[in-house]
Amino acid sequence: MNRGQYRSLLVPALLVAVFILLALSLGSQTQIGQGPLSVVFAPVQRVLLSVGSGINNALSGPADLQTLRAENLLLQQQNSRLSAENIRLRQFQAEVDAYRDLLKFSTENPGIKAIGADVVGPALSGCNSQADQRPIGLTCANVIAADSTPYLRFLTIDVGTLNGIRSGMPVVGDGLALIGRIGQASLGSSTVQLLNDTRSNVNVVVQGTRVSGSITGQPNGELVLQNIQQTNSLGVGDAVVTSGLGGGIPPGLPIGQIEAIVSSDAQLFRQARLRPAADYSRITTVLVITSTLVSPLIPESATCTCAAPDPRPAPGPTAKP
Amino acid sequence: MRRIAIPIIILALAALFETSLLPRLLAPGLRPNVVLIISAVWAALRGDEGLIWAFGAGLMLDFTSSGPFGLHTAGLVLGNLLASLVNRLPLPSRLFRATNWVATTTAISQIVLVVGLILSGIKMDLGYTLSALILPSLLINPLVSMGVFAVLRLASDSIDERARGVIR
Repeated sequence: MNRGQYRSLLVPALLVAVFILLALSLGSQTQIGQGPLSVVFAPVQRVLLSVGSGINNALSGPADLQTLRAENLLLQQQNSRLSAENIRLRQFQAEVDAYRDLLKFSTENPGIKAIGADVVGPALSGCNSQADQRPIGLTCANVIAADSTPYLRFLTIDVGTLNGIRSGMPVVGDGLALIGRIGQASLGSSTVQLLNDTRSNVNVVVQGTRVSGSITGQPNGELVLQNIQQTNSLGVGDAVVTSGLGGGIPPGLPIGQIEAIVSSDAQLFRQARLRPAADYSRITTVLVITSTLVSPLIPESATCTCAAPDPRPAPGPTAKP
Repeated sequence: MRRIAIPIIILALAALFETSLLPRLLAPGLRPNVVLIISAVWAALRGDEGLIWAFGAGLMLDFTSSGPFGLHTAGLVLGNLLASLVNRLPLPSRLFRATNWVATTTAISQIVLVVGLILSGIKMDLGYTLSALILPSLLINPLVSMGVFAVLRLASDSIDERARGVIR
């Protein structure tokens, strides 16, 4: 084949190939994604991750600036953990009220057994250091890549179907704050659809008022609480947690706090902008909840059986290390 | 065989660099599209051969994306095709031709991406997309392409010299 024939065939051939790829992809809605390539890509991405962290540290300037950055990061992590902890404590407060009602019920009905427990979010600083303390049902993973399409908010983590990861499993960050769900699981890696992706939708409740709604991502990366009826009240600072309805996400996982009400009275439903409990742009380590049942997530030591109702006022749930 | 293997390795490494290393160092609007730049500069230097690189580069990006498969490939192939038409005009230098090629490919591939994502049902804010992602990449990609051009021009010249040596 001479050069002229080659040139005349190349462009149509490439265009036909592109057309077939697009028709297959857009027509069937099936994701091809990384697939088997993840076996090759994930180890290289892990190396690049450590190289990137090294370069990042090297470029961070003078030592004092680096110290400040480290302190800042630590404080941000602490802030993130405390925010999540705060949300969880408020959740416990609401639960205590509910338990008091239940205790009253239990006192009146002594034949019924009640089991109470809590889940304490671990501080994530790397998978290896937390391996022994991790409750059953949580798989630790490192974030190894971001999505190559800047309009989509996905992360790639270094665990996949070989580690028992399946599509749809919830993913949490520091303080067990929900950050997203597994999008597609490949052999050696998985993609995590962050909560602020525009296709993400999670059912939530506002703590205290128990107003239910859903949160979704916006194109600019913000989180919006929506589908709240006009008759329901929302307040700035209210904590928002997962409701546990649909999607296999456990209830009570912190998501964020209401930052601003962005809807008007003329609209059918109310909307509010959320400040996420975790900083999605700085996530390096996550936990995948591999069991959606509540019981496997709870350390055995944190479970208390209250067979005989105590006549004293009900104590609040205790945090276990 | 080497002519196929080397581009695949280079583009795969570039895709991994773009998705694993750059997100640690730069914010989304400031990240150059390394794979796009390499394929576009090579297309500017090598003509038809660059189109095959663009196809391969698109596949690499599609493999590292959670969006509809083929969008990056379509964007890069169409972008490079249109850039080849635009760059038939007489241009003052090879460097100018390469940066112009990268800018055209960036613009077309971003448009293809946005249109494709909208068609697949993804909500987009065009104002934010334009101001925070497309316009910065139209500035950053041609700038970075100057450095990439310097390296790839050496490789291209080396290939040409070797080819002339074989002919002799």
